[in-house]
Amino acid sequence: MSGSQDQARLRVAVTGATGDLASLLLPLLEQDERVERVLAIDTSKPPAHGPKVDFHPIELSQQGSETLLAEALTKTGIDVVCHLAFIHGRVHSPSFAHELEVIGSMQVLSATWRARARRLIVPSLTALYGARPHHPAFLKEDTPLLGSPGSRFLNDRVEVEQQLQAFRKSHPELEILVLRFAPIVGPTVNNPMTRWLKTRLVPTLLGFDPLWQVIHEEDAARALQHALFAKAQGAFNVAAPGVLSLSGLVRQSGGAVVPLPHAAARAAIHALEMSGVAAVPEPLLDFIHYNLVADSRRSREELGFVPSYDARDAAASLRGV
Amino acid sequence: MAKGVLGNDPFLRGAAPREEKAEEGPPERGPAAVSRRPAKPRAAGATALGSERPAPARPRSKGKNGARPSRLPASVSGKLNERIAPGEQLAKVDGQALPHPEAPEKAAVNDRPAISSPSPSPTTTPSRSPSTPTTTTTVELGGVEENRGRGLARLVRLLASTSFEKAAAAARGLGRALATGLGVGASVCLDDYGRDAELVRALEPWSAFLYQRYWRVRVQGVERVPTGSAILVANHSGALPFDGFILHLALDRERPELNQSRWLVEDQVFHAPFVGPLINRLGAVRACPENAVRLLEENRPVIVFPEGVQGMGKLFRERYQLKRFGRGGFAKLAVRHRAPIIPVAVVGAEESLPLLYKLPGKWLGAPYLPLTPLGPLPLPARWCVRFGEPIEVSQLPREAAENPAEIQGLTDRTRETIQEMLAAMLEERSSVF
Repeated sequence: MSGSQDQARLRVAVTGATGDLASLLLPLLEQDERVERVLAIDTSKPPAHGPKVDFHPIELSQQGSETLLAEALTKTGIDVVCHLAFIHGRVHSPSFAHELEVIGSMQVLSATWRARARRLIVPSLTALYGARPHHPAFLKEDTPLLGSPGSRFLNDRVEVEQQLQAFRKSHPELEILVLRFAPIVGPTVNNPMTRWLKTRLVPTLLGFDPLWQVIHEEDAARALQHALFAKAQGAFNVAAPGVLSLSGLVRQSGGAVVPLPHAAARAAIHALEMSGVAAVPEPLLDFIHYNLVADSRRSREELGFVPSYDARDAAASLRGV
Repeated sequence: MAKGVLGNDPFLRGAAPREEKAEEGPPERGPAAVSRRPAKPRAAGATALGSERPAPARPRSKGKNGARPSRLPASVSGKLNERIAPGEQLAKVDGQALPHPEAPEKAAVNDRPAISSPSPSPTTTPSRSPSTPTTTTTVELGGVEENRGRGLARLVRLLASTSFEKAAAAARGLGRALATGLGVGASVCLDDYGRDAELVRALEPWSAFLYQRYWRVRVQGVERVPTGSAILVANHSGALPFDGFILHLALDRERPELNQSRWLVEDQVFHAPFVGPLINRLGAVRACPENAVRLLEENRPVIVFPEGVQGMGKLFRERYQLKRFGRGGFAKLAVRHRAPIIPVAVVGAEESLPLLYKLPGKWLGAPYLPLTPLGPLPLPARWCVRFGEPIEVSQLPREAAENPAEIQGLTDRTRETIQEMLAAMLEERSSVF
């Protein structure tokens, strides 16, 4: 029994190790007995890490990072790569962000395959489906990813998903698991969603109140941890149970909606964007207009992951932050 | 005036029931006066502590020692509670005296001397003689206090009455619906399709009014709706989409044991501002095959209107003439998911919201603006909803769904059945309103 336990102990590599999700995931992996070693990869060292974590600096946006990464992975004998090198904070250079997310993901893909790692876990977004008027009430994983034209943030991630899709077809021996998270909210994460909710006076469209989902940051980290050991592959929607109206979400997180007529809303959002105050960028107006509810049934049934916070509590975690 | 200033002397009118009614007012509504009244069983002989106490009793204290207790309108509660001396036993329950609910407050407020003189004070123990004319003192104090007392008592009675309660509930429901329409509803108890159970409950006064009193909906044949999944196909009528909601209500009331039904609305309604979110929170679901499939898999009755917006766009003179039934989507669904088709005929909706004319609506982004007699308000026509015999599809193989002839046959059959039912019901109808 103890022998098989040692065999089952995984060596995990985490890219983007200083990011929000990694900061939540690494402590979980420290505690997890099934994880033998963690190789943290980023440009700078993660602030506080325990004995299991080894740091290896690699700049993913650089040419040649694939070779460096493949060497590091092979040397440590990594089994599972968790690719979290995505930028959720405010982006000062869109071209750099594109380099990192799209090119960087491609490097990680090839390096993982070359190092003969077994699995690759990549977080994604349900927002990639795009909020469209013709969408059904529950979006399944086979819905095409329409993204949001004009949003670099979403379009880059759509490109990443497309790369993963193509790679999966051509290299079936690498198990790729994509977790499409509903907007991640919580006290520590910083992403466009939380920045928008934290402005407390949230402009919305008068006469519209679309349905939203969220997921608590701890549940997102737990989902990633669960995915390391799960026997499934493919794409899964992961969201907290329950659905909130946009006004309900804003109210639960401690803010208030400011409904504006369509034209005025566009102008207000544009002005806020120009002035640098965090607000929902113009291309994302669709999300405050149409519903976007993803069906997370498969993640519960096939993947076996059950979130511990429901939508209401996840939204409430933003209060007072 | 032995009858008393307010004409409501409890001992003369046997007003104990009224007092209890006033006492039953829920604490959180109305003025503090009602809420502060101790909701406790009355000991025998206990007297009214509340509204019937004439206000003029208080000013007497002023003459006594100049101390001026707080007066209305600052706090009705203070006014009424002053009747009770601090620490006074209000009643005995099981031999134990109940403490005064406002005891600490009383000490601060009630600095005046006992009102007892010149007549037995209303604040003395419950055991005082019923024949004590407590109200006689008021007569001596003059007309102003009398009127104030009368007005106060009337106000408290009004606020304690159930009709006020109902009006307040209706107003709350309306406020909630308006908030939902504007998009500031902030509800957190939505089901996965967006239905807001609290909103529906809050609108219960209105939906009950519409269903029972305004439209007097009569339902026939509801026992024909099977348990489990079923597709209820109805004619779409009226300029505004009330019929889905009324059918949903009818199933809810007449067949509560069934899984909760949902009705499908067309995009033009679902994505319309104000109406869209509201109708979604009431239970409407966007009409598309994926949604219908999921609802059927949940074993619900699904209400569909194959005429679509064309059904709503019928002018009044074309009423009850069914339009084309689309491409037969409901028939395919029925065959694929083995769900029986129940034809439903609704009579009365056309007359409630007759579409008199289609005004140009392009400037608003709508294909047309409906011209109805009272704008968005419906007329009080009588509604009659008849459920027809189920059209079973279980004998057809699943592949029949791909056979256009079969599907067309089913669609036509359903349409004819509904048209016949409508004709019969219109024949039988004695009056429109």
